[in-house]
Amino acid sequence: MSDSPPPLDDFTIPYIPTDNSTPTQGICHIARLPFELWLLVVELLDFWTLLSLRAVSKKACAFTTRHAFRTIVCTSKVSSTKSVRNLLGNEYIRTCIEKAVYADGSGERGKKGSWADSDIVDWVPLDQGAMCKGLVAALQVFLGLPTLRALAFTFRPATEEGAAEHDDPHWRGYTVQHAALDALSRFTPASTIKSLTLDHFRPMPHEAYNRLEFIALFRHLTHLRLSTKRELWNRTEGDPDDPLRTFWQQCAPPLLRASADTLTSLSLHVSQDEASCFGVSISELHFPHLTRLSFQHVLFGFETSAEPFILAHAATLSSLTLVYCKISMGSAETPSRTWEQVYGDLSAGLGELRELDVEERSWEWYARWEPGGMWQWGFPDDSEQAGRDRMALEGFRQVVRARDV
Amino acid sequence: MPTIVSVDDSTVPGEGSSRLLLLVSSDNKHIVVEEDIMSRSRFISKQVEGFEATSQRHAILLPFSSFVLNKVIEYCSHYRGYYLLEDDPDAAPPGRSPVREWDQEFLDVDRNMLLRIIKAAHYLEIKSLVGSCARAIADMIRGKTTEEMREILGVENDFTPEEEHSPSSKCTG
Repeated sequence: MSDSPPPLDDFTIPYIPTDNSTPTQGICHIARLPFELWLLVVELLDFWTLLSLRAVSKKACAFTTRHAFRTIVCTSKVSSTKSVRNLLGNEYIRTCIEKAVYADGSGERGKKGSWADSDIVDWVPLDQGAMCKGLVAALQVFLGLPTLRALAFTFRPATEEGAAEHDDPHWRGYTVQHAALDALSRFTPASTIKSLTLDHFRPMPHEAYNRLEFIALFRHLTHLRLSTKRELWNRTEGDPDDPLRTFWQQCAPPLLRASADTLTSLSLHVSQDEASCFGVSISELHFPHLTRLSFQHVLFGFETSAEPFILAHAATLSSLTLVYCKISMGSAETPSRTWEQVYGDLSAGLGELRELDVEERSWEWYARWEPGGMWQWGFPDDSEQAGRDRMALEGFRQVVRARDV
Repeated sequence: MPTIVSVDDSTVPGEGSSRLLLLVSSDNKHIVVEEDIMSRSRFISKQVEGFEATSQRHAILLPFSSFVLNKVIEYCSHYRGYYLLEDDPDAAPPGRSPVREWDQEFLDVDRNMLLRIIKAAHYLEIKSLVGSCARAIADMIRGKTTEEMREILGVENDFTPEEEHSPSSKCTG
């Protein structure tokens, strides 16, 4: 054993040197780990630990920087935008960033170890003009990053307490989303962007959807996650100008179609109120390379296209997630379709499926849209149907599990 | 690469139902172990496949000490017959392996021993053990200050004073 501390640049030493010694406490040689093993270690470290490790030595800096700055998050705080711009003044760091996140909030990065939605801890009142200006500036910088692969937005979530705000077109949630859409349709996005996430997105018409620059953003996507959180407590049933219906039937399909040739992973998490509108919009879409699909609050049954859509991707689909999906009972007492039938057909039809994740609340399996604008949960008249539905789900799970082994 | 040498029949005891392997450590200790136990090692499995083509018995020379080799054998013995996802050849890299309580106790060793085990596991291609070791090393440095990390890793600060005071520009890759 050497008496002097081993420099970190020894991590590329030839494979494994012959070592006859019995390990003892003393000078540590962990810094001599082969590079590929260090990469495994840094993968497990949080951002703040990586920053500390980065300051250990030049070599440590070299192999941690790329990991530390793979994801960069900008919040709606003006200081956050400034920090991001300062950081991106470093040319090397600019080449490390693979994912850029804009979050409407004032997250405290690192308190929970790493960036995630849950790190956006509070929703401070801010000057909307300055906030939007900051958002546009941040996006302009993000879209110029040479190695950017993923772009994600977390908009302000709707709350029941703030329901009245949603009718105000100048409500902050709308303003920020409008600014983001404007910016995205103004700056030419890098074709390197393969993943787009829009969380807490308000599905509503916007002129950006018709702009070529915005549609171009979808053309190279392999991963798309659209999570909408518009809860319309005062929705008027049958309103032809219903913004939800307009979005899902007119705005969304061309965007989804733009990524049809490249998309491998699609997550559409809609809010309960959108379920009936959403079903119509996917009926004519097909993604020939789709391997992962996640649906939340999507309606199943003969009236919607959810089940045919899934089965149309049987040749490629290896992972399916269904969260709180339900079957619409229409006006009948008996549903046109049961979960027993749906799970049975999916089980038989999805021959390539290797992962199945179903989150369900049994009292929400069947529902009827009431004229007053609310979902009314209900069970079919057949009291044994729930048991058969559960057995069919378990059978589906077993089929997929057996295939995985 | 280790050298594979022919060995005398007498050095390999037993002819039971489970085949025996002779592993020779770098300190020239001969360790006989059942093939089943070491089947978790992709490296050993590949060596054994090579043996099938010949009728000769072979020993496998390994470039680490018997002390370390015995630890690895202890790990493989513990999980004998268990399916661990990370050891599946098609599984993802081992960095995100699940936390196993037994592994945590098993790897409650001094830093140098941990280093030797992870290197041996890497050499023997035992991904589950590599993953657990990587987690142990990450736990060792997680949340530590830069100075504490230097002490743990045995590394000296080689930044210039200017670089030291300009964190954002100190690294240019």
